[in-house]
Amino acid sequence: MSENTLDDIKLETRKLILEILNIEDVEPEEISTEISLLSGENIITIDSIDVLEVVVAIQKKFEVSIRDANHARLIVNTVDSIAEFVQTQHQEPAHS
Amino acid sequence: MIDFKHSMAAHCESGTLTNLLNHKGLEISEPLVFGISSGIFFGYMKTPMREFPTIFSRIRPGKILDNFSKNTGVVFLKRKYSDPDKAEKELDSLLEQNIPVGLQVDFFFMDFFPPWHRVHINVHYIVVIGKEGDHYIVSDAYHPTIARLHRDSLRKGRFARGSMAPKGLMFYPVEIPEQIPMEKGIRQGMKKTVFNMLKIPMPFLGVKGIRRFGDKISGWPAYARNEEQLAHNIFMITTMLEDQGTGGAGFRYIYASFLGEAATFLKDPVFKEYAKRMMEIGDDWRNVSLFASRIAKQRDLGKDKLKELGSLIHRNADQEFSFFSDLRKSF
Repeated sequence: MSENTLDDIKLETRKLILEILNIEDVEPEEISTEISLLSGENIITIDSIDVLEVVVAIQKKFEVSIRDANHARLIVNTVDSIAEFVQTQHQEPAHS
Repeated sequence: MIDFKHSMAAHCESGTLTNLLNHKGLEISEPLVFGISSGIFFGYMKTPMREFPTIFSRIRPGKILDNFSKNTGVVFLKRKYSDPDKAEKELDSLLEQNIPVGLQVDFFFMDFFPPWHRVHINVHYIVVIGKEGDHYIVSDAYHPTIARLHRDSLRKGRFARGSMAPKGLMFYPVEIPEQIPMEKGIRQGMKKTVFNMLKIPMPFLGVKGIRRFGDKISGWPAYARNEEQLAHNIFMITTMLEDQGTGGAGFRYIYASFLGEAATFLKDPVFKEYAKRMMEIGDDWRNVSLFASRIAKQRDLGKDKLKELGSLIHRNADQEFSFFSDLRKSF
């Protein structure tokens, strides 16, 4: 995973979220990377029930650790914030 | 504005306390504050006041500060108010003296967070570090940056009504001993935690509380007026474990971090092993959270699913009983 570019991670993240939410009529590219996924203003919305599901899926998919729930909400706020977090974790030598 | 190092934290009370202590010159991490204060706990309660049982995975709000003070000798000034004008005046006076002040507030009025994030929780903690005109400068451990809050919002937050009302509570450390007996504080914190988890003679607290939770969950449909209410309350399990400033997995992850740091202070690698075990217990609590959120979302609320959830909870009870029994033998 560490060789992925930020754009790769963003695309994979968008696909993953659509898969988790079981949404078939939205293309990954239609999800804004900048608009909050939690606010209801993006084309799709992650509700509070889905937050943990997304956190666990990101951990598994990108082999990163998100154990702090408050930080988790900030991390999954936008596609950009998820991708930046994943890339930062991959750049740290001892990430788990 | 006071030159104050703002840091995010897993939990608002331990995070606020940590940031205040760091400012006062005591370099200490949030997990250490949490562990020394015996922050981890478990309770399962059904009261006539509420239709549904509730769970909690930490000690009573406010006790982190009290226990930390008791186990380290750090002295805090704590003051509550009935008069909002007086409370504001005294806060302003402290800020003029360059003293950052911890406050208990209703989280809902912290309007530097987006509206969809804010809920009424009377036991949120912040640090106020300055005032500019009608705005206070706030260090909130859940917010990535220092924020501004209108004095009207702060006043509403400090004097919100209801359960665990803040009553204007403010606090700050006034005296830090030159030599803090960290090893002793860590051991005292662990001892109290072991007592809380294994020895409190109440069937709904500690490991016994986890077992009661596992026993009773399949009976929750009897409390519900309809499926929607049941689903909502099943999802509250996830909220209470993951989303109430717990640091994830009902404070088990932050306690694992404490044990890892304790190994260094106590010069005993066995606590590294305990940290690893507690991290795994945290993963199992996260599985409980995930299972609860899935059955709530899918409205798959039959007795069998709830019994399955109960089995996961019982497994955690067994693991925590074994864990805290072993931890007890280590001091």
